[in-house]
Amino acid sequence: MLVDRKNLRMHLFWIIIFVVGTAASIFYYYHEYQQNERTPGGSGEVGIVLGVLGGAIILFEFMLWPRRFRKVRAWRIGKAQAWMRAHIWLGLLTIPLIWLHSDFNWGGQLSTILAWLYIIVIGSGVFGLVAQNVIPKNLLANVPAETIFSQIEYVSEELATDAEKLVLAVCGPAPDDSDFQPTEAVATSASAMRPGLVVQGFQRPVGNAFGRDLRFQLSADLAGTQINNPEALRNMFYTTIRPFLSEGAKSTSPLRYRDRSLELFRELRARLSEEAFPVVDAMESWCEHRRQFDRQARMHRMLHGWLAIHLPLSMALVILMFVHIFVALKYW
Amino acid sequence: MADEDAFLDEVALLWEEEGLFARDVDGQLVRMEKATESDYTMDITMKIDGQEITVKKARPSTDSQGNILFDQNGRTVPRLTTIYDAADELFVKQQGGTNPIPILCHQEHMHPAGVCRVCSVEVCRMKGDREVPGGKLLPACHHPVKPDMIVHTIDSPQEESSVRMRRAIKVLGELLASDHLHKEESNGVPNELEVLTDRMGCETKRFTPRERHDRGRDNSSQLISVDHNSCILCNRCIRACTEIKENKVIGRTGKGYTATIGFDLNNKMADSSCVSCGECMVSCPTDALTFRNPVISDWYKEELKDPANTEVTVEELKQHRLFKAISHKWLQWNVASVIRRTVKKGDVLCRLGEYGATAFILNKGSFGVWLQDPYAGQLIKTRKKRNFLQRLFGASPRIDNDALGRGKVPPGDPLFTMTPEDLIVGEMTCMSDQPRTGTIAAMEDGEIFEIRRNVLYVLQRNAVSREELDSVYRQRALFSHLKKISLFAELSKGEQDECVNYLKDRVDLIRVDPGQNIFRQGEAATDFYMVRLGHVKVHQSFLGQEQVLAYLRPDTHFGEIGLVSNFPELIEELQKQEVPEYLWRRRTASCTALDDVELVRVKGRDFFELTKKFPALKDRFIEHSRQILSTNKEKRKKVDVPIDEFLDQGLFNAQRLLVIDLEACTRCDECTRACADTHGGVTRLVRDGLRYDKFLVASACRSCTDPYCLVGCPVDSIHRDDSLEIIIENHCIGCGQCANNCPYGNINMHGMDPVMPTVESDDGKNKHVAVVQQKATTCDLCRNVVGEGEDVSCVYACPHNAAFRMTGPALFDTIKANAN
Ligand code: SF4
Ligand code: SF4
Ligand code: FES
Repeated sequence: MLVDRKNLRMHLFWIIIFVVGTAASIFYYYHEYQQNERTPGGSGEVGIVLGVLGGAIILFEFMLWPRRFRKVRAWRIGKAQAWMRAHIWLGLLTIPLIWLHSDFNWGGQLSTILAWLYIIVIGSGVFGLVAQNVIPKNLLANVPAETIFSQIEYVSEELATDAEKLVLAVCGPAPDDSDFQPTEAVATSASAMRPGLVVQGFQRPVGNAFGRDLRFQLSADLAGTQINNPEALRNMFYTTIRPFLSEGAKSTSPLRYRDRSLELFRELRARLSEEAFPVVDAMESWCEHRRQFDRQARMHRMLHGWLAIHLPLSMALVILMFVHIFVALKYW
Repeated sequence: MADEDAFLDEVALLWEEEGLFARDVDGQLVRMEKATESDYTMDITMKIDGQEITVKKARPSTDSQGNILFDQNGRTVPRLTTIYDAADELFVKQQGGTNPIPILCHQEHMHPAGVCRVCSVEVCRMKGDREVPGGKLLPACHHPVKPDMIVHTIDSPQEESSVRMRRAIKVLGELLASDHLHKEESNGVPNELEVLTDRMGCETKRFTPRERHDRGRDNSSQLISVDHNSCILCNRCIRACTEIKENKVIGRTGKGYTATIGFDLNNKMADSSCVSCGECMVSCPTDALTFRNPVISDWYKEELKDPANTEVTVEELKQHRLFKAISHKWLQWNVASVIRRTVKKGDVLCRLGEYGATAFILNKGSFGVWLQDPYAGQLIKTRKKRNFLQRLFGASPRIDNDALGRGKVPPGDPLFTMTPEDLIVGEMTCMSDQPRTGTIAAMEDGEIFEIRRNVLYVLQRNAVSREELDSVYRQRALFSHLKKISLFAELSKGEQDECVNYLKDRVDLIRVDPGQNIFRQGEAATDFYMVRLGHVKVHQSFLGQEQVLAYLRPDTHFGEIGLVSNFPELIEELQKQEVPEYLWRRRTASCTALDDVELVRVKGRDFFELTKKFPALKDRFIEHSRQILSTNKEKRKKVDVPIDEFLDQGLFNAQRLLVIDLEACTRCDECTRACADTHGGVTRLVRDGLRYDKFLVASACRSCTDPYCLVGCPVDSIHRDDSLEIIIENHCIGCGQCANNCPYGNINMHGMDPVMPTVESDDGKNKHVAVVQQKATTCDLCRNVVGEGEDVSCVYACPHNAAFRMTGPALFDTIKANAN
């Protein structure tokens, strides 16, 4: 969630809660400290009050997790963004509360583990918040061809198939003895969406309508292109371009790197007549799309990867917190 | 003499010479002369059954809905007027009767194919003062009219001719019936071939049927049964599929007695690319293509629960003059699109400002119309206040449903009342997809037929009902628009009424297609326009560059600049803005329709007269023109947010865009998941689409002001109810028309869980097959979960304040505000 000047108003209420809460807890702690002339300790009145408050907030913070489940998500129990704002600022408020509760000590083994868990959870959360403020802007600026993350493989395969169709249209069928025969996806028409069933009505794949339409249009425009050296294009397509389009960074293709790609396409152009250049341009731009998909995937992992730490450790934190309470009550 | 003989068919002779394989270049079976634009003005006078009629030699080609077609250069495409057209003009339009010429392979909304010849007429010529019959009978459905033609139909008062015609057509009917009319297998409802044979008094078994060559049946489709033995190869289904729906699935296959229609490469219907729209089936004049079950909507079932509502049979409908031209089969299939309502005094039929999907044919009683209604649009005002906690957690504002004023008749007298003479009310919303312009309530007990949009749609295929509906629409549209013109806002009520009265006979309603020019920069400026529906782009060519100055929304006006030189007060402003004098009475910019536009046009001089009568109107006009003159120049200097892209993406048309701020969106897809959760696991939004500035315009219904998707649904399962959202009802047959119509890809086709009906296989045995029924799905603004004005699921579930619903113009303003 963006926390910047433009969005300040939206966060104002919780910022006030955070600042007032922090100030009040410090004041409370300091007041006790002054009165007793020693630090209040985790099991003193201040420690307990701050600990209970911190623990309650941690439990509240944890409530964001069930919202990920289908049933709960559908409940109208407040807008997700309102919960998120509360999650961020109350989460931050636990820092002074828990710190003061700990009395600046690691304590025994259990509380040390708890403290480390807490630090990692808060750290990963703060990392997530920073990532949410930086990475989307970066994606917007540097990945104009962005698609839906979960669809990258599918869209890339579609891209590779469309590119192959274009190569087939301009180069014609490969001679029988050529190594470069059409792949199965192009050779067989994949029109039946659900084999073995009678489908009644109109079928159309969902989404991606615009990008694909543009590609179809381009392919239709270029289909009649006369090409002087079809073998060169076909060769490069099947050995280098197609594997890269469908596998991207996982392939060993030199097209993974922009500079190498520029060079390879320059070489290809030198072997073809000018009429074929638009086809090469199209291939080059589709390879750029594929590189962008890879970049997007990397950024996406960074943007969401921290959750893989934040969530399970939060769970562990809550469990250990109860153990901590139990132990504290038992030996109090 | 050569001229007199001209109509004696040089074209027909050509056909004979060319033999069986003659084909028109457009793929038509018949070869017709090409018409030219000059033929539009040429009068042809001829006689049909002894009555004289003058028609134009050519008329503009139209599509199946009667919309005039334009070529790439924006010019109409002329086609020759046929004998059938002339007979229609004379007997149906002028005399209100029926066309005496029977047709079978032809339908008014299709191109003629000329394969059945039941429309044959006798064409005579004068030899001295004697009428001499031509050598052969001519097919009226596609034979062009010629000067001084003398035509005799089966109803001709000249008995000799009528007997000859009847005999000829009767034989045709008998030949067709002996092979293809299987009364014993019919469902009791006569098909068109049967109606024809009955009308012609055919003995259906006069000819021994040829040894029955079984051409087979195809029961694979769950919507349509195919009986090839009943098929007369009239080509109606082929034209329906190819020309009307452009699905191009059906063709002919086989030769001689084995010739049949075929789907794709002669596949079973269910295995072909057929989208099951039913167009071929409703076009078939025989029992070769029949529906399995009529379409029954939830609306119909719900309405019938009310004892005041009852079913209407096809026979009853056929008695009504509006329904005469609709095919029996269409009415049977869509019988649930009409309901009879008995109304009591005070019943409200529809309310101002609400959307609606039905119109009302008035049968009995009188009905009041109010153009102002205090109970309309109360939704916004009656939102309940939220407490602090509710506001903090973003709880949606609730709407107090009791305060909606549903069912309450507006106070005061209605502006006017309507009776069965007025035929129909409530059609404007269905035809223009705009909210109701008035509240209609029963003034006494009465009866109406409530009809759905698909009925109106099919009514427009027939020239007579189309013209009738069109003239009703024009009158009402003009009147309701004049009543709310913003230029009149500062006049007193009495003055406003006077203005409306003055203008009412001096204005025209004109329709402009998307992309069509209304006027061009530099043209002489004479008229003044008010936008009733749609959006208009104002663009100017300046120093060789085309620049968009603005776009105009409904209820605005334009074209006034050409009138300003009539006002001395504005001459000074013209000089100040350095407009050269030769341009004073010329258009300073071009105006082009962005979507389907309806304009109210006022002649410049009429408007000038009006301003003379009402000084307040004149002052308003002068002030407004001054503003335009100064901003035009300003706008040219300043290019802020790219408006071209805004217009190209059709955003001006959007009333509820789902926009995602890509700087804030973390691509977590909570919005998509929430959407799927709300709609039984099938998401109605795809987080992909075009970008505008830093926003992604996600693929989710935009609730367009002019929703293209609503056009032409054969069973009216997609429409707007009382409110803005587009809904798709359960009875959708999955034809994909709406998905194809939506230019933004916001309607998806979704396969329902397979069902296992029993079907008859080729060997006549019954077997089970798994059938997946496709249905259209689109964003319905979560209408089952949230009330009007509340946050929809995608927005509600976004944890990052990145998803918003707003109108296109609001998005534009947001971007503009961010840029400054
Ligand atoms: S809603 Fe769409 S898919 Fe369904 S029947 Fe109507 S036009 Fe066809
Ligand atoms: S829920 Fe919000 S942040 Fe997540 S993908 Fe949708 S718009 Fe983006
Ligand atoms: S109706 Fe004219 S030839 Fe069939």
